[in-house]
Amino acid sequence: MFAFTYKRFFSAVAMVGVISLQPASADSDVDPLEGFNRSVYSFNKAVDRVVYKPLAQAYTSVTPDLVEKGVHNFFSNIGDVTTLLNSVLQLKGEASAISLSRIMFNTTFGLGGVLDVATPMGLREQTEDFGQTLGYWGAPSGPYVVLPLLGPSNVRDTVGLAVDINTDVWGREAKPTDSKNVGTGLRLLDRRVQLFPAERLVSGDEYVFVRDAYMQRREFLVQDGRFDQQFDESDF
Amino acid sequence: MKKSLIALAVAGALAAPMVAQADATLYGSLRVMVVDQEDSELNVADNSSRIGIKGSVDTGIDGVKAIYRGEWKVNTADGADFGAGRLAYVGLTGGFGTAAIGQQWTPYYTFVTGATDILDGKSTAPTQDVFRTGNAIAYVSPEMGGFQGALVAIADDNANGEDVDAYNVAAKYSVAGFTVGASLLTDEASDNDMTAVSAAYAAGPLYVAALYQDKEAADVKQWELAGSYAFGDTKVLANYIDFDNDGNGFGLEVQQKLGKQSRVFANIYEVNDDAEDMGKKDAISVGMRVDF
Repeated sequence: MFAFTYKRFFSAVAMVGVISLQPASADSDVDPLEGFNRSVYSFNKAVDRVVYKPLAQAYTSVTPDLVEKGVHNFFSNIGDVTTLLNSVLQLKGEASAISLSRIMFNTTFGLGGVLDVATPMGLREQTEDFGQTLGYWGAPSGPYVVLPLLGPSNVRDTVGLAVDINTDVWGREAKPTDSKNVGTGLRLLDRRVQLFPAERLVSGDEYVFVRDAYMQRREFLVQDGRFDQQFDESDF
Repeated sequence: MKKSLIALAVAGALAAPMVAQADATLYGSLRVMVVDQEDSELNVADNSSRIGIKGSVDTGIDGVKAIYRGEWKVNTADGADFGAGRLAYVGLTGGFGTAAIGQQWTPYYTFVTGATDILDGKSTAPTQDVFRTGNAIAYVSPEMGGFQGALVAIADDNANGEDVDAYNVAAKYSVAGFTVGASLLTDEASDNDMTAVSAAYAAGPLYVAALYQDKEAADVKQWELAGSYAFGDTKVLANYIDFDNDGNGFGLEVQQKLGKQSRVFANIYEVNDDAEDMGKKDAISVGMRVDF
């Protein structure tokens, strides 16, 4: 039993290695829309360069760190509702319990979500969305798609995103509309700020890097970090 | 030299009363919560705080001890005063079981209805209205192969012209994580009985319980489900209540242990319109308790 698990572990490690080393080998399977995607990608890139990134940089330099953290926590707490919903849909008992506890503690003791008191309590943030739920129940990711303004996705996650946006607590409940829009703006700025550290990792062909990183990350999230596939040792 | 002599004298003075009270335990649980209830303003409320003393002394009879206990409410929210008494009784305990006289817990609660009273916030104990009783003579049997029985007679000269005003009998049986209990509370004067039946199951981090009560005086039959699941220092709890006459409600709670003797909770309590007509109210409650 031990030897078996051991072997699988190394197969998994080897597998990850192979994927990372040969990203281009399965291009046509993963990315049949490459031509379209690349043009959308460069459009997004231009918008980001001219508008989104400068705004996010201005936001992060002007706003005190404490306030920025509060904004981030507030919207993370709202995002936890989406996570809870999807943990339940994936029949994950303990993850659902953790998300429920996070929401209840952060909303009350955390003053409406501005403070993240749950994490120091040992309740780590989970991330689940409807794309992952579809993946959990066996829906394949489909080809890679770059959405205008929204960025990297795939067919499955595009469907998921539509559901997530429609069930989002902020989008549904926030009133009046003015405040809601300001909030949504802050949320988008916060989201962009969170990506700053990741930007430094990009190397080589940026389009390919982002695509492979995205597809692998999503696969990893759907599997919750497990690799359940059976490997044929003769492949290696 | 002088200092150590003084220390010795002080230690000597302290030692004497400590030996005399060797068996007395001072204990308590202070519980305060903030409640946001429908149609009310925000309120800091006491949540059943208590401080008590209990212990046992030797009787000189082989295997039999005399027990004593006193427990009082503490109003943590306002005034910080010692409120009404909760418990005050003396009794004898040994191989035969425990017999006690005074104000004490009813087996109606401890054997049966307490099974679903597991939450900390406003949604807990929604159908329980019998907890402790005064003027009580009680006998609780030892546990015999998972079986335990109890009998309480309540005799109050001021009540209603009967020698014994009310009886409470209860029994429970526990095996392999399952516990079932039943209890009958009869009021001799009004002839209005209360009957309660409960079943509970505990397995590792999971606990579920169901309770049914038939209250003749109020002419209602109520039931309740409650459950909890613990992971790490966190516990998620829920209960569902059927108040009868189409009134129902549910509670949802998370508790976080902070070390062994303190914890915090957040609780949501929602009732339907029929329950609101009975005076039940939606509430959000957040609180903390420290036990010692």
